[in-house]
Amino acid sequence: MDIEKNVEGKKIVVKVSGRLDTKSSPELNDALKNDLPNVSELIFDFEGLNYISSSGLRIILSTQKLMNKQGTMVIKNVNEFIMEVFDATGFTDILTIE
Amino acid sequence: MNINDLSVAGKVFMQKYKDGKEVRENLLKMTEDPIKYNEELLFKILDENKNTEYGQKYDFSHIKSIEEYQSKVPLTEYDDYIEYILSMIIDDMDGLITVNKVDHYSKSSGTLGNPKKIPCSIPGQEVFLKHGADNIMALMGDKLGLDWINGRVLNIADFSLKEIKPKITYGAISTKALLTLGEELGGYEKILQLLYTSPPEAFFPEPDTDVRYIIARFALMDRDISYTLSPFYSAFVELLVYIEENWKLLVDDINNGTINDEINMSSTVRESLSTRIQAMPQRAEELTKIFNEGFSEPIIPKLWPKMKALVGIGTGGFDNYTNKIKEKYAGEDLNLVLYGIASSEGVFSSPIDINSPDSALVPDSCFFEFRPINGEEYLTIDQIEDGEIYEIIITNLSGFYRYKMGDAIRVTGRYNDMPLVQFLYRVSQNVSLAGEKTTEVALREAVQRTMKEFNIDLMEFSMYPDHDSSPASYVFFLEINENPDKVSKEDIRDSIEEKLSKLNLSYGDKIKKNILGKTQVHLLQKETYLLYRDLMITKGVSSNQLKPPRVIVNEAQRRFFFALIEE
Repeated sequence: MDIEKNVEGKKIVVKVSGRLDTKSSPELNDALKNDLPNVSELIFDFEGLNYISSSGLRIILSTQKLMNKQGTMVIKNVNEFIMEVFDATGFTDILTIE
Repeated sequence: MNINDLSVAGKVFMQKYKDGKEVRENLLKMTEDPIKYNEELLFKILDENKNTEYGQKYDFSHIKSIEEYQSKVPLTEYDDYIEYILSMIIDDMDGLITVNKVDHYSKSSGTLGNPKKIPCSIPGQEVFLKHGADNIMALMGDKLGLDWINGRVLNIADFSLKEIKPKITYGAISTKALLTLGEELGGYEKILQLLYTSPPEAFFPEPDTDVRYIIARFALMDRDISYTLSPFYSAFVELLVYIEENWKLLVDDINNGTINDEINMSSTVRESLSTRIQAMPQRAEELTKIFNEGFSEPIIPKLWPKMKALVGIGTGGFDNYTNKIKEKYAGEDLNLVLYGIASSEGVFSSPIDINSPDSALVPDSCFFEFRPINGEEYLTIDQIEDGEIYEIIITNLSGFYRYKMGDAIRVTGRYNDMPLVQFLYRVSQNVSLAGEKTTEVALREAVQRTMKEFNIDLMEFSMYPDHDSSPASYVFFLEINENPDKVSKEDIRDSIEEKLSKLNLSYGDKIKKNILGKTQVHLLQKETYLLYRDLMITKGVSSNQLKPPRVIVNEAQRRFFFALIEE
């Protein structure tokens, strides 16, 4: 999995590509931890993300809960496979997906 | 024991023990003539509620016998009350289904859908507290002595409650009862830390706070914990697994009086917690020595040598957690104080003894009727027989009349004339794709025996009854922690099918005749059940009430589990 972050003031864009699974989820968690307290707008760009597992979904869910308190979170460029997972697990009701 | 020598926790628990003695004595007295007390309760409820809308509709004032009650008042389900409940909540209407003041709505555990709001009147809460807390204190005192009474309790409950209107709360009934207790004792926030090891940050968690770390950290800091209160035993196992996996980090923090940067929590929570901790090098050294000895021997007696008991729900679907606690973490010396049967609608039974899965029906809590699991008659508390299985129907103090709980219980014996019972399964979780009537118990047994045979460490399982396949078939979802012998999915499937065929001969027969299709097994991705738990909490279900879905009953659950099958 590759993570690319771009911070502009209180806005952060996080591009995640590859696989977000049990092995790589802690990596994303670590990558977000330092920046999130200072942002009010989080954009995930999932264009390059081709797999997400239960552990990855847990990170997305906990991040959404955090951002509900301090700003907004949007997920962009979700491919068909990931969208199916979001849809089947009920995440489409919780997340803002563009 | 001189009361003046007791800690604050000791004084509170001593008072609750004394209150509980009275409750316990009354419960034991009621065991001598259960139907008398249960019938008295029914007519008290009918008389008090004769002028409510529901009472007038069904002519409560002219009902003179149980038989008349059964013929005049219909059996009900939640949907029969929904209009009343909405009027009570939205329009503040009183006197619709109960004359009692309702200042709380209990959250049912629900499924992936929205949780229900179950009215809970003040008298209903009082009964809950009496039998769910006071009787437990008295039972522990009577059976274990009182040398535990001075220590703090490791409490793994979530106390979050929502106010849906001024002074009207919504959440777990156990939380509301504890909150009331806290108010009686002079303020909940103040008393909390004196009774329990965990700080308020764990009981009233902010989103994205690593609650498990906080509970584990503060529990490990306290060597003198007296007992553990875990609403479901599964939560205690999850905590112990967390400690096993993270003890180095935890001990390091205890040694230095710090909170590791990797632990998720807001800066406000971190700052607040920091004021409650200090470096404890001596305890850290003791813990390091214990953890370095490994987990092959029971670790609870080493970590908390004064821990006398584990209180909570550990029967029914939680058997495997109870076994794990005994076999791996606690050994034989930790006493199990198993709650009776309770739900959002009330407390139905309460334990008479420790280390026993049986509990006595509580005749001043609900009026009980019992439907034999394969019959259509409705029996009273004096008519049910040992060894038989019944669905419980209740009339409670909060406005539910002849309400089908959907819980199946087995009568396991008697205490005086009082039936002793055990929870067996949710009736709705029974599976009958072709008339085979497989119970949740049989599903559990088949999976557990298979896991034991193959030495597999199972996280959880669910089963989807697939009506759409041809022929219809059982689809098992298993999340496995460890499979040391790399047993194949096919071998697991064949073993489950074989064991289930023996446990339910009708199922085996239908498989042989191809009336039911070959059983299927899917392995789930790691953390799937944790994700399910997280999602349910996000949807507002209290963590105190969360149970994994044993039988998948709706489309939302089906899609969820099918989407998370291991590649």
